Amino acid sequence: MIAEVQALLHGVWPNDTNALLALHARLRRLTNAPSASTSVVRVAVLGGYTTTLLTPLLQLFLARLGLTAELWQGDYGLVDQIALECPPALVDFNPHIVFLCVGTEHLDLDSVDREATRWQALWQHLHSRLACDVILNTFEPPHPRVCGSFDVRDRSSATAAVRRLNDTLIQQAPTYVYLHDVEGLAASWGRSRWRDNTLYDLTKLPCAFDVLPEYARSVAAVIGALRGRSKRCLILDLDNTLWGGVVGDDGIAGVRVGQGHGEGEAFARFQRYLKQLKQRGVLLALCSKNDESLVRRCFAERTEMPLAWDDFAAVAINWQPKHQNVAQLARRLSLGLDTFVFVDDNPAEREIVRQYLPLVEVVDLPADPSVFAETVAAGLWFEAASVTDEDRDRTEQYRANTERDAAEESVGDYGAFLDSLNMVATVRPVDAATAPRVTQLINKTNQFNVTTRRHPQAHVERAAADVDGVTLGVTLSDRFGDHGLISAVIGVPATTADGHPAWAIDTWVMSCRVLKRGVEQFVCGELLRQASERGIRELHGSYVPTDRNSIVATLFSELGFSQVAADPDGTTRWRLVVNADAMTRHEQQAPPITVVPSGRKETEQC
Amino acid sequence: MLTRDAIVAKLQTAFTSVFGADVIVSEQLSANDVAEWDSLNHIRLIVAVQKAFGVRFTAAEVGSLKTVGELTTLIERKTA
Repeated sequence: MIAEVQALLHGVWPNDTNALLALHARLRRLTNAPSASTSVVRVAVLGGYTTTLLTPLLQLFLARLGLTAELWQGDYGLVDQIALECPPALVDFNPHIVFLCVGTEHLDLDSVDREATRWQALWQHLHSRLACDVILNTFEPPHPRVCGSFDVRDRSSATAAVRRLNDTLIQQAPTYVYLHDVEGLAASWGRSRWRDNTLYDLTKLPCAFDVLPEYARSVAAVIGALRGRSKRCLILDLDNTLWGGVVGDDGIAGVRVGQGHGEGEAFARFQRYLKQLKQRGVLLALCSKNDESLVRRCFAERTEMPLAWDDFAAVAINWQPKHQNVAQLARRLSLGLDTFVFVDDNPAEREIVRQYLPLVEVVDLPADPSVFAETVAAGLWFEAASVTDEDRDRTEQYRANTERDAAEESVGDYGAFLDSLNMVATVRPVDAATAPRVTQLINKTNQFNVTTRRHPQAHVERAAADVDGVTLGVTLSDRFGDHGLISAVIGVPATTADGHPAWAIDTWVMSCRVLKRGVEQFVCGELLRQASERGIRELHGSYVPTDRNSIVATLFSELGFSQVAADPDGTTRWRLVVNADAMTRHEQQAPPITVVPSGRKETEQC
Repeated sequence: MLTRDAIVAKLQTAFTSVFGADVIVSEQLSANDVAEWDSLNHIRLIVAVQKAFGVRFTAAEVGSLKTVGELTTLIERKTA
């Protein structure tokens, strides 16, 4: 479905609002019917503005991200009332996300403090009643300015008040609040183009008619990020993409990048942008028809380039067709093709990737390298829900994996290879320190995810506080590096057929970085051990198939669970009796992972 | 300068982009005749008409329009 919507949108992109609305009407069948390749997101839109033209566009752009949006719209203009009341219809709708579609028109700027308190009260109330995430816009300074430049210094001006309010809200927003940056969006379009006061007076639309799609696409990107649909990896060509010229023809000294002339500055600007993406946790990979040793030397010798060889998590530099190389990069990085964005100056290469790998997003680079960065950025592929320390280290972790793959080849025997990794794990219940990362893992993981249930942080924290259930956060390190927190389990209280306590595995996710390392056996062993200690008689598992998690279809069977049911939708249900046999079998099959007490506990004991 | 008939013919394209090809434009046509012609589709239509003729309407003008005939007169005046 993503590819279908993508193809349809290709013709009307970027901002023919009427054509997009007509397309939405035609696609209603498509957007209303969840298919195997989509997941549902429930979004409640509380509008200070008229949102009836915005929501179809939102649905369309979410469909493009593989999300079937169920929408609930509050009555126009009743944002505060609905948020504070949470009427039964809203509670029953059970939204994952509440989007407060409000703007500067809805503020009383006489008191910034009072406004800050107002929005905090609304998001706190929504979150505590609905356990949802909340999206709130940043506010635009009024257009036009009253007197011009002096508005910024006059503390009583609306411009100054809006700035103070935005700063306060940004500082005070908890993790479940996502600030959708309408202020930045409006500024990048130009306020006079973003606003249409005639239309506003008639309709109370949130922005000018022609930029409604941009507004909707930007909200969709934030929702996509919250639901794990952001892209993870940018695949880059080299010649005339990262530098001007062809290194094989022009030589290392001959390619244009860096200061001194316009073309070199343009490519350096693009490289600086890519470096910033990498620092936000986006992986960069090279896919180029070139000689790898020449390219390595080019990076080593042209040190004025912002990007270095080590900035790339993986490379495919050879003369194979690009679609084959891209598919291979996906396998090597253990990432889905739908997490890739492909950037290449050559239209023929773009076309072949589009044809063979429709899940990969392909960027149509313009001829002018000075606008490469804004062309890639305009796709909003890499909207982040949060940035954790793991994100910042991600390229290092993937690079370490590549070295590990090399080690695997040299060792030959897989058991001996695992032994040689010197794996060390910590296991502890989810707590305040690990809940953000656990939540991120739950919402981003698509492959090793048995149920693909997405949970907001509040839900994770509640599960962690449930004394009858169990939560596990597992970290892993090995001789190549520290992977951080790579697996999480939420087990909820259940009962056996004869009324004894059991745990049902509501959620089990694991980062694909550590696949085939025995971590799943290890985690299952931990669950068994803790279950036994706490008098739990059975572990219940279920596997809910999606188009991306076939990797865990046989997980429970491999771990010794017996299948007890198969639902019509393909879900399979499994049971493992907690007894001496199961414990012994797991101990015998235990992978070579040493458990150490977690760092936090040691500190606490000191 | 466009004749009234030419304006009506050009309006058909704008109407089709909002309501589909089933709605046939005539000077007598009004919002009462088309089920989907609600206040928001009215705005979609006005934006499409503004683009098609390269004109801008004020809020007062948009509010006063009742029939395609009145819209045609307004366009006639704006493009004169």
